[in-house]
Amino acid sequence: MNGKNILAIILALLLLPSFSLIFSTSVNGSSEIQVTVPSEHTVTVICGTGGSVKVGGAGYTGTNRFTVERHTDFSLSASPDTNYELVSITGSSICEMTFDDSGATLKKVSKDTEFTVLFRAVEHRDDPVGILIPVTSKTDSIVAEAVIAGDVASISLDKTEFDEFLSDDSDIGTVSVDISHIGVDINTVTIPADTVRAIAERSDAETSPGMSINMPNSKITLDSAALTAIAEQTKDDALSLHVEKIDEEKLSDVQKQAIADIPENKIIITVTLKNGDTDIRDFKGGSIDIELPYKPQENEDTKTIAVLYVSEDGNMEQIPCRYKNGIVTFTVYHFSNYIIVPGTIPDAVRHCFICGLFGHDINPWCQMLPICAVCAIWIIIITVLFIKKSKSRD
Amino acid sequence: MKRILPFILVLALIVALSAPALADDVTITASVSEAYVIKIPDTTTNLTWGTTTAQAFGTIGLQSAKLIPGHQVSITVSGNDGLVNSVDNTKKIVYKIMDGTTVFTSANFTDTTLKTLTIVVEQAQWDAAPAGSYSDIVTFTATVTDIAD
Repeated sequence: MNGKNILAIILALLLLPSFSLIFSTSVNGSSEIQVTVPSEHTVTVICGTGGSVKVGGAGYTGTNRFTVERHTDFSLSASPDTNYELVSITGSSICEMTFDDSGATLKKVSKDTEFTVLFRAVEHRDDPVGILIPVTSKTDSIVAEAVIAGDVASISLDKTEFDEFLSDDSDIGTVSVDISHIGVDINTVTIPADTVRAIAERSDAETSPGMSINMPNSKITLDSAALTAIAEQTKDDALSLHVEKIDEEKLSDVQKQAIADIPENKIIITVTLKNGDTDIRDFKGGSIDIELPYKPQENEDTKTIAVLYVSEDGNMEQIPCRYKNGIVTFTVYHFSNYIIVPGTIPDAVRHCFICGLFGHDINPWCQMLPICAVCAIWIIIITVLFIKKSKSRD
Repeated sequence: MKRILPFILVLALIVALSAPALADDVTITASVSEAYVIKIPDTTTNLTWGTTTAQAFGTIGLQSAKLIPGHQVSITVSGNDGLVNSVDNTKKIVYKIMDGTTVFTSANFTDTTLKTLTIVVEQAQWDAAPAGSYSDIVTFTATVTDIAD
């Protein structure tokens, strides 16, 4: 047997395990997923009696459908007849909408949408009127009824429909009740206590949903812990959330005195949650995000905007906030009066540079240093101990 | 002929090694190859635009299986990085392949069971997507592994 034959035997022996490897190799298969995003959407405008709507310069009454190119804006204006007034413009879509005195604009239309424009006779101005508003989650959308009376919106949901809405086992995100797109000022929203309880009960699930209430003047988002705390404290049928811009005159004398040094162009907001006559203040560690519209003055440095909490006894605490696109957002752990302050806030409420989170006031005898008395004393003690130790070593 | 000879010798060696020993008792051995047929979703799945609830994708699993005890078939999914716009490949619609309420990445099978997969697209993804056709190809890979792995 020559060398070539031996090589052939070695090669053959090497090939043997390769055959067995073939049987353990992975196998692949592919699937293609396809979808087509439409280039146009239908906007349906339902105009109630007592007026007309204008779209693109032309007037319409009754129900009309318009074809809108995807991701373009759609605007309409409402014109009440003589002795009628505009009550509301509501949209079924969760697209962004903006309102002015007589109309609405749907921004970047991205789905079929329905507008409803309601008018009423001036003589019936004080009569309650019912409208439909969207209630949405990350995975679903339903419609709730809201009865508008003055600046109060009373929301009601079909229990069966809402239970089904919540029954999705996946992460539904935040349940959003949107009453912002109605073209009238609303300061108070009443919600059935059962609605909050139902969401809170679902907070036992792996993904705990929060709830946001989007009002024309604010957006309040409660996390699942806050919802659970509210549900535990709720006895009566309805919860009443009140968010209103108030005058300084409505504050107590102590509070007025406390904010005397703050610039005049501040905005004071009061936020309360009531169940019957009972104020719900304790959210047991749950947090609430508050978003408020804010229009900076010309040349105002928006980085200096601050939010202050003013307690009943006049103590003030600065709350971290951020400003973006005309909205000031901050997180609170109880409802109270809050002040949006343009520009630099007074020294009296500045936080300690070292222990700012503990809310110590700046030490009164050393305003130059942005540290509180407690931290200043600790620094002195540590310094003295360090010097003593250094000397003993020498 | 000389070249073929070594191969014949090796094969003879293998046969000789596997042949039963000449003894009073005769042992008969037989081997059954490990084989399996996997099922994956259809070649093409068309999603309904704008739907945020779970949309049917298909089933995965073993249609038939002759596995050695201690072995399993692992099926993994890859390539599901988003539905890509046919005109501008920077525009994507992100989606999730779900197995019930959890995102599906892989599953192990030892017998002929099937899992139903769905596809979920969030509202924000639909809203942001420019008009047009989108597609994505996902690859399912099946590998036999030891259960202990």
